[in-house]
Amino acid sequence: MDFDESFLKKLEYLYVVAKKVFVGRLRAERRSRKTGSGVEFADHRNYAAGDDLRYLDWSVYGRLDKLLLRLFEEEEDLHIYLLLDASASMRSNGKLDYAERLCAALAYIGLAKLDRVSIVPFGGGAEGERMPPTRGKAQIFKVFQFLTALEPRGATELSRALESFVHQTKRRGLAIVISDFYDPAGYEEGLNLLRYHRFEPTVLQVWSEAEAKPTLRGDLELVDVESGESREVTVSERQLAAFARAHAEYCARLETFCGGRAIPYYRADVAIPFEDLVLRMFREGGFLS
Amino acid sequence: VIVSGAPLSVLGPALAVGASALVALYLLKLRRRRLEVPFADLWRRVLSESQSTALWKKLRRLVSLAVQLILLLLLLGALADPRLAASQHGRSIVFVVDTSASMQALDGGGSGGSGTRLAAAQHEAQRLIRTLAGDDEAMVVAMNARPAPVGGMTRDDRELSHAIDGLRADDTAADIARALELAADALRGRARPTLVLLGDGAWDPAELARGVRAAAGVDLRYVPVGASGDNVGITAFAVRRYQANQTAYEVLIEVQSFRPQPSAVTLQLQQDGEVVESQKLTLAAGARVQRLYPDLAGDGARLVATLTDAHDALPLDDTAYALLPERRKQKVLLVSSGDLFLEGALLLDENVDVDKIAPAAWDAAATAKYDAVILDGFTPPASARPRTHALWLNPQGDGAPFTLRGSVDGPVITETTANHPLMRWVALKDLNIAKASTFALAPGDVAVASSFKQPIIAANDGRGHDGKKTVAFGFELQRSDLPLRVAFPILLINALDWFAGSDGGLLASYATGRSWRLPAPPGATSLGVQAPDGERAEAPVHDGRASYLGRHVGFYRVQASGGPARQLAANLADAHESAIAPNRTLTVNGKPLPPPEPGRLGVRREIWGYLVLAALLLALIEWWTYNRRVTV
Repeated sequence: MDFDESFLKKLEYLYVVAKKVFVGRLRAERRSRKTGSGVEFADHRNYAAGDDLRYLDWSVYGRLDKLLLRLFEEEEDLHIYLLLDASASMRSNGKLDYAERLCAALAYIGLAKLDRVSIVPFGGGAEGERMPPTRGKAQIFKVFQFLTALEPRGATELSRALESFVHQTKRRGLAIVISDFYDPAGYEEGLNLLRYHRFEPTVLQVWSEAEAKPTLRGDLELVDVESGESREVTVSERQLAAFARAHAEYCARLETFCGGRAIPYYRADVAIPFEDLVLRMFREGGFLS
Repeated sequence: VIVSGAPLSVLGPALAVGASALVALYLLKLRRRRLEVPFADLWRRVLSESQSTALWKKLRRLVSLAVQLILLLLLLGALADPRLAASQHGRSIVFVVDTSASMQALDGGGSGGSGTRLAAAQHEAQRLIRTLAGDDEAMVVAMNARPAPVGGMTRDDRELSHAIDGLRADDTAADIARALELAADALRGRARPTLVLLGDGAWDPAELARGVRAAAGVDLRYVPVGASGDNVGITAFAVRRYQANQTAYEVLIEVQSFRPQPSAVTLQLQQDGEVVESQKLTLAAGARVQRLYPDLAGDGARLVATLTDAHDALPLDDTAYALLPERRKQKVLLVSSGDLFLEGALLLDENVDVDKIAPAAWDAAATAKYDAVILDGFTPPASARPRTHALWLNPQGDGAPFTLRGSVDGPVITETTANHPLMRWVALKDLNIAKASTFALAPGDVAVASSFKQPIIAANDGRGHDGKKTVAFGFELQRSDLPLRVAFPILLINALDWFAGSDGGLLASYATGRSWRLPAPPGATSLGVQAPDGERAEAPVHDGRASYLGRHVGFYRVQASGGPARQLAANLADAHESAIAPNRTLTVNGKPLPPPEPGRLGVRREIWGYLVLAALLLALIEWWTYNRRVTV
């Protein structure tokens, strides 16, 4: 990964735009949205299993017969954890590159707004190699350095990675999971863990057209890039269509899962410039608002 | 079904090898392409949905193998070239194709309009072969001077087509009667006999009628070819040397026009490539003119007469060939005690070299180097007879060449064999002879002159005399008035010319399409004949002559083994064949012959095409199903 001058310029531009859109206050320029820990009511959201029952709005339940959770805003230093998937599957189709750029952009904006930004890679041998929380624009080079040193390898194992993350991280904050979510064990448990431990998760699914609609054909030996498991197959047109369907369903399930739990979900298509995605995230307001 | 292509002995092993190879390839596990995928789990889920069809998967691989084996079978089947067998409806057809000289006429149409009639007939025949039904059988007969079948009765289109393609017109006249007889013989006893005549129809009506009678009961069909009767041809060409002056010769040429309008042609005569005579001839419609060109001189033996500007449809008869008889001096041995009449008569012939010896000096062995011996009143013993042709004058005793029967006094010549070469231009009427011996003739002997059936001049052309020609006069010259007559020197010259093998007459060329009786040197068993087109043949000798059928006009080279080569010329010389006006309708028994009909069944007998088509179709289906992943 090469973070050059032009890339930095792009980040600065993003920061300026972001600043125009969102006006911050006090030391920390944004407020974290944490349920219950502040005094100022902010919003309601649907109850999801695992939420703290203390924050249920019983009066609304009485009137509308709906379980809604009251959200309060808390003013404090915002911790932003960028959880970056560095498993072997990210290597294909330029996903890791894209994820790193995205990660760098978000980190820059966070650093520039004087939030505490930490990068936590997971998957394979990346366990424990986290970048400690830092603050200030000047630290961006450290971010670059850290990202450049990342080597994609091993299995994703999302739930195990997030479990160790929540146990090792005392300060709650934004947990932005950047991954392709290719985990045979599933992503649900991991994301739920973040929620149960009062992190505010955001999902950025790195997505590639080439993976969603593959064009391979004929007699093949398919090898899983993470597990090394191989399988002899003869791929026909029909099976390609079935795979594309299955892939779309898999992504849709992830989106539905996030939507149901008020987890902001963004599909990061590697074909779309990362800055567009970042701007869209700000514009839609589900992130860093 | 008849198998007519590759034999089963070849196809069997080919099938075994091919099928084994296919099965081996089928069993051979192909190394698959290795491909890394980021999320194989999703693939596993997709593929496990189609696990239920595993049995079909195995089956369709078997289907794939079966398709390949069927493809192999179809292709090998096509190689075997199977044909449908005959049914009861089949016809037996003989295609009689005219290959005579007139079929070389360039009015057959075709590209540029200059194809020969034979090419047109071949084209028609090929077209007819294509219309044959699956159960028709046919054969081809080439009709020239010696009609002959080209291959046997067959149902194989290719064989027939090949036979038709192989036909070549030669320079002979068509023997229609014989061709029809031959075809009728071939069709005898066969189902639905049909005879298809392909030609210009310019045949002798009498001969045609004779042939049609022989082919009674056969369905006769006729396919006419040719369009024009425009022809002028040389119908006769003969040459002779003058007896007296052998350096000069004269030529007789007959030119006939077959054109319906008057025409002018230039007749050119060449001797060994050099023009010696050229004359413009104006011919009335259908006229025949004879021209005698006397006193021609020049070296070279080959004479070629050409109509240089005939521009007619048949160029073949615009050129005729002739050979000048050889000119050489004869060596003659005269055994005589002295006869001035005889010696004087021999002096007249400047082409004779005479050696004279007395009877006492007779040496039979020495005579071998002479062309002829004249024994004047001397009869050597039977053991010492001359070893060359001999003229005996008054032979006596046991040594005589013909057995002496007796003698007659004052015989009168009552019978002569006028057509014997010895008697040309000779009259022996009123010949006075004092006394003559009479001969008892053996088979092969000819009585040239007789007195009341008593031969007194006898001749033998070599049969029974070791191939030596013999002439005997049964009287003494001095005791007759023969030496005083004009006939005497002529008789001598005739005898010597006959001995030399040249009878001095107009030497006509040989006519093509006839069996030539070529004189062979003694002892030869065969003659090598080289035709004008370079083809060589050995003609067997029987009774001193070789039989040979000349098919082409031009100069032939004839040579006995080890002997000197000589030449002969052959011409078409057939006014019938030169009359090339085609006959568009042939009428037999008052009814015109209809054209042939196509076969009843349109089905092709060869089914290899269908097999290949099926293989192609199968390959196409296989390709489509493969691409659709149905059979993989």
